[in-house]
Amino acid sequence: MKKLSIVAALTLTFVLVFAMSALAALTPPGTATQGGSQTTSTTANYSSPTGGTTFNNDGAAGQDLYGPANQANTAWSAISGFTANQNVVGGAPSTTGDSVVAGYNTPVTRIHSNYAKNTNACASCHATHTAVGKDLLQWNGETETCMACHDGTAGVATYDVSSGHIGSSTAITNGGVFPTVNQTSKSMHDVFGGVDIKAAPGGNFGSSDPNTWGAEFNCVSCHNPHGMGANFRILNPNVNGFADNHKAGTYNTITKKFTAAVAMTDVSTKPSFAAPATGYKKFAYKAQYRDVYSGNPFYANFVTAPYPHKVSLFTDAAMATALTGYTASVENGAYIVTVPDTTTAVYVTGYVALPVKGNINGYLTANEQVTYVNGFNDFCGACHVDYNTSMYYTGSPTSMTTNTDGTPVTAAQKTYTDLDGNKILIPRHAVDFATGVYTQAYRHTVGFDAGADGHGGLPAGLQFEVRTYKTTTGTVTSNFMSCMTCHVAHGTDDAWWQAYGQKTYAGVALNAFGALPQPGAAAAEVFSADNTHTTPAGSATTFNTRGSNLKRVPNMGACEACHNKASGAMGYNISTNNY
Amino acid sequence: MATTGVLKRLNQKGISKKNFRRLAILLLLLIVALFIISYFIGYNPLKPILQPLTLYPSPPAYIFSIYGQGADGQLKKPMGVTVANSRIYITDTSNFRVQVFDYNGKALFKFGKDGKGQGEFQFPYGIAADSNNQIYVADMWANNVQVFTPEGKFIKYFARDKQGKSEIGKPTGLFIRDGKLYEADLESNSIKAFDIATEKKVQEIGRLGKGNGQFVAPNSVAVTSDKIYVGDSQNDRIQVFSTDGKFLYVMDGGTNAPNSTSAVSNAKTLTVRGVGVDGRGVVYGASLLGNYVCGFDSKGKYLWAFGQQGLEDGQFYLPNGLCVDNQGRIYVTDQGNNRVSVWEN
Repeated sequence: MKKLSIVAALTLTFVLVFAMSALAALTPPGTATQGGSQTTSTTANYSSPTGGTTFNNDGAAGQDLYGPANQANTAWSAISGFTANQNVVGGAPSTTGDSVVAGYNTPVTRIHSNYAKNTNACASCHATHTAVGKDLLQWNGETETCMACHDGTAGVATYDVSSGHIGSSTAITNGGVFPTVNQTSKSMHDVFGGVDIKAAPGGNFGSSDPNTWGAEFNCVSCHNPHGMGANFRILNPNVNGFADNHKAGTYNTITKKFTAAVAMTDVSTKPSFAAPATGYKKFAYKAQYRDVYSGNPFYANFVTAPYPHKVSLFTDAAMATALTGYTASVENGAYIVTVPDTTTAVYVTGYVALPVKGNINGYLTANEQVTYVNGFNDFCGACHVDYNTSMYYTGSPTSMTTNTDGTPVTAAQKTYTDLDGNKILIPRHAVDFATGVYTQAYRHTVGFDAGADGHGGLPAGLQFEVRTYKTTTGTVTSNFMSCMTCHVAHGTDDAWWQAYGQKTYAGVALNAFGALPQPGAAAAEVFSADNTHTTPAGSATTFNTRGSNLKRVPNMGACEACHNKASGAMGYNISTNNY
Repeated sequence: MATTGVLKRLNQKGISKKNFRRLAILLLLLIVALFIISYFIGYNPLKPILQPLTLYPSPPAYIFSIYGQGADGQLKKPMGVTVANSRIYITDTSNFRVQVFDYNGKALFKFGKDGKGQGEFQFPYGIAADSNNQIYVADMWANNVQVFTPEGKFIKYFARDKQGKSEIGKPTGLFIRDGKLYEADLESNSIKAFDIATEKKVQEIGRLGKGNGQFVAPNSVAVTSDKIYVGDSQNDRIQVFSTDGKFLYVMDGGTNAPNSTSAVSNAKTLTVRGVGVDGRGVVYGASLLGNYVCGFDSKGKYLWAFGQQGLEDGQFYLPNGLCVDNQGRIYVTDQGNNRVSVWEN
């Protein structure tokens, strides 16, 4: 018994010591770690973040956040009509066969800005052996993937389309916002909601339509993360299968891959392109369509994905001999083939991309200015078919007698050319080109020439497509009505409108609700600083509770920006037509 | 026998058999009490001793995931996580709230809603707890840090003066240590430290840029006794500073040259978001677009990565926030899979 007690007591003592030592080392459990060793250090001194370079992405040496790689690339600073994902790198062509498989590995189309710098990023969308979707894509997480960075968490590096701000500034994004926070009014191209593309208003699709009408709408419906087609804002050059499936014969001459080859044009001396190196020639495909009066080259890019949208190049129209020893690149939005100058002809087959062009000044800064150039009506019209009244007739301009707005085609119009001397064409209706079942109604025309700023009483500052073209009397820059004149691409909410309204739209003193300033009128609804809105006592709200239809200003404010019906104007402020 | 001898000697010193029995019972009660305490605070006292000290730390093992519970309880885009007093606090960002779970992942309660007022959120992101278990929540869009009781009752806006102005710009990750709140700030692209008692800024590290000691979109900060780790997200690297703010070195696990004009990076810390350090000195970084969490040893050497893209247990889809607790658990917010996965050393 004694022995047992002693053994028990000693055992307990050891266990106690053991347990005590273990517990002595403890901090309270279930607490975020302090990590590492537990010595304490003081923090009397610290570095101060003063001085040094200011980064502003303006293209000036040493000041762009993304360094010389982007400074060398005018695409990045977006000064000269190139876009953030459009590249102009040339480089000496290969002399030893197909160094580049055209259209697949084009070295000059930047993949989603700086995204390609770390190839581990590919795995955020693709899986080599375990993908669940075609093109080795992971499941339908496109929107989540985009929003992982474009929700503001990437700071100055990109756009926050989730709260509608540029970088980490307080400046609003030109394309609007995908509102997530509950607000009194919001509207958006619903990338979250799982709606089908066929839900697009004005998109009267037929059951046999080969487009992607049945696909679910998300970010990738409009944007191509690979930057394919070198479009403005990486807009998809094959939106809704448009490049594949537009009506044959009229829109462009290439409708089926490998069924025809067309000659490319020698553009070595065209002013729209940089001169090739000595001993080389540049060829581009001159598509039989482009925006009327665009002033941009007629030269086209090609859709290169999904497979098998391969671009193929030949030395003959019969497609008997493949072209070798070339370098493919993208310049000014066009697909360029550089070859030794002994080459006499280049023929191409492929799917011509839908081009969208715009200029961005002050890229990603609070002072960013966006100027649309062309292609937006075609792009939006790929889904909202009925509403695009600006597609272009590709026959001889001489066969046309009236413009889409009913005005006669003048003799002067028929002489208009782009800056390279290509004759420009006359607008016609989407029905001639788009797939889908076209329905007829009276619709506000887009794509017409609204004239220069101030023309016909138009206020400056409207979001037109600004194009330059040549007439018999010289070079003209003019404004063309587009979808973007009245709408934003992403969406709107109270805060975005508030910011936009503070800027006013087109110089018209619209308040945040689009109401007109009337002499002696009661104070209109206003937003207060915290984005709540108030209405004058006793007045019914004029707020558009059914959603704002992505309109640039609330209610019908966008209409009023041109058709000012204010007292004194008598509703006829636009002089060219009686509207 | 030796023990008989011991007893005899004890007897000689005046410790009777009776007293010895009392002593034994006392010791027994003490031990029982200690173990009862251990039970209630949920801690196994033997565990740290059983844990082997290895020269090459192994990656943690997956334990379980927290998805939220009950009607309307599903997490939606959780961005941040912290642990305090055996509770797991998660910023349920797209639901504009914080959800609280017990140490086993059982839902306790949630607080906050969509709005711009007190206790309301626009984009709740970083979250941390102080020594009194008060909860600090960073709202990236509303540009504030709110302080709550452990039960989720709003106390105050942190570091805001009478005019409502604050040194806090666009806060992302938060970390609290030694009476200081560290805030990663997207507006200033710096790390700011505030004294919790005085709410005054006492330190700031870095500014916008790609050089050493500069950041592009820092999304997280973790502090040990002698180092500050920063998730320099858009520069694809973790930067390490001394606690007095001197730049020490970069951890990226590869060749990453943010200043280079053409170099292709193979940094493991691709778009690194949450960072954390465990008791072994292992530094963790969640790679948002890489869909894994990588580990570095205390000297900055790359060790391994765990997780891969997917929706199965132990996989990630856009991992973001990361917290390491003092039990060797690693919590990772999996924003694409709308869950928080819990790992253990």
